Amino acid sequence: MKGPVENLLSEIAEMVAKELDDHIRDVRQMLPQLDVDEAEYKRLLLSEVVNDVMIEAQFAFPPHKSYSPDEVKTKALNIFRKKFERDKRLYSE
Amino acid sequence: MSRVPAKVFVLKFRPSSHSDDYTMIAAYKDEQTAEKVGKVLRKLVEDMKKRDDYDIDWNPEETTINVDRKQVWFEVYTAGYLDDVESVLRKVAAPENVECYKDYQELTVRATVPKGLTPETAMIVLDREEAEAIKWFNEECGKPTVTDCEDGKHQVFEWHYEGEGISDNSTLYVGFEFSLSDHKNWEVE
Repeated sequence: MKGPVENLLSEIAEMVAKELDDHIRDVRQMLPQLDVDEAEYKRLLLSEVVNDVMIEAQFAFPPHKSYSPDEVKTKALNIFRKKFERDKRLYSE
Repeated sequence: MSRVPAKVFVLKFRPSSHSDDYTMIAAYKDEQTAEKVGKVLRKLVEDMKKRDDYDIDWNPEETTINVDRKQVWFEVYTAGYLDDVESVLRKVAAPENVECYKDYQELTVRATVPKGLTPETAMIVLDREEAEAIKWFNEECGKPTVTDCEDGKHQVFEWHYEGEGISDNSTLYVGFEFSLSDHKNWEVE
């Protein structure tokens, strides 16, 4: 059974995956510059974002509660946008 | 390594308060792929020079990027802020292998021992520290090459080591502190 941290990270992963789907045209424009396929690119970016909020997610629940789950989600979205913009700059023609 | 719902990077860097010389080495299927990755890595560093929104503690001017046949090498002094680098190493092409070392060293280690000993018998005959060191090098580097000395009484075991830093001027850190000053028959270069 998943605990609250794993549930939050799952929610974040789903949220970021949806963001990626909303920007699928941008993703597909990058792919010719990459040797990995679309699924692998998505997996790698997703894992970058989730890894970056791992500690905050762990501290979003008792006994710590240093962050709220919504704060962690917001941070994850900001990280996603920053990393996605980085990738668009790097993997453009 | 962390566990998350999605499959994560093999290497996850947890920035610390302590900086080291980090060396990342990624191996690809062929030289063309390694060249391609090296080119994007240089593009990343150029991008970092123009922007201040990267989460790094290092100066992009102070990095070394080399492509050596199928391998891409990236070196920098950092407390572990390497996620953007790893992202490029994994996204531009799927690496066959990615390794990350702190204080990377390539060393040739020689131990002069009585002629006729094998690495196995040397571990029985020599003192405990030498035996432990020989065992460590055998496990890390494989069996040594053995060369006879001109005096006809000795031979040299030689290992080539590549990996995390294990040597300073007078000590080898091989699971314990092996003093080269106390073992004049050992040398490292």
